[in-house]
Amino acid sequence: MSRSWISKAAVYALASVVAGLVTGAALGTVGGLLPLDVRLAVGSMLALAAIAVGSLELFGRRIQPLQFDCETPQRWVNRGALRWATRNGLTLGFGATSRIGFWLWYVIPLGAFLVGDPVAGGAIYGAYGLVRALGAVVILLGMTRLKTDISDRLIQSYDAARVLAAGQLVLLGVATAIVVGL
Amino acid sequence: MLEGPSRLQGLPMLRLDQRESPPVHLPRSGGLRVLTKSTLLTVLLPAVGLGVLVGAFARSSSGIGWIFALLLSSAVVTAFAQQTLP
Repeated sequence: MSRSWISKAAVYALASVVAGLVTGAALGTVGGLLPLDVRLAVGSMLALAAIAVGSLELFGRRIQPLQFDCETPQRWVNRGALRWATRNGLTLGFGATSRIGFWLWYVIPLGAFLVGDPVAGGAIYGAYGLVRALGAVVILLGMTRLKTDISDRLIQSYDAARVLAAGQLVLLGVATAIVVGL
Repeated sequence: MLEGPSRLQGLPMLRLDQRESPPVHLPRSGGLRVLTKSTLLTVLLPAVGLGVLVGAFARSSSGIGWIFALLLSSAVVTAFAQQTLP
């Protein structure tokens, strides 16, 4: 494997993590300006919404999330591989301007905001950026080494991922509702 | 493969698009029904049960730590799930 490949993958992953860390820290900082009571009230309402949306999804009533249903612009390819890796990493680590696909995604910015702490917010959003970037790198590595299209297999797991995401949404909603004192 | 980014077009998670301005998709209901009896038993009930357990435990100890852990795991699950987007 060439050093060039590694450097581009590293830049891509780093950009994604940085996007997540910065966004999460900013959201946590802004959220910290709100009184705790307000954040708890908003959190309890969102917990109920999470239970409702997750349950509807599991009951088979799919609700498409609000999202920009688009991919990163093709013209970025023409600006060089490193720039492409940086921009793509930043975009995917931020997440909001590309395809979201799952209601569970909204837990990340809202959670980072409502915890009201830049470190915790950065950790939540940064974890998302890290795993999203590493996922793509691992898939590329697997495709290079195994000579098979792993992404096709992943797409076939979409329904299972929907169920998993909806289950996580219900779990988080129920636990949060109990903790904030509903 | 990363030597030529244009070759990455075939990868769904990195697919590049030609649209200049992204269309906003508003929430809407519909789509395939995915729930089966086994989904109810294997996902919904355990999720509710685990949520009640974690919530009750978190209330009797440091609640924010548990919620933070759940938020962190939600971020990881989301990132994994998004790799399956068609």
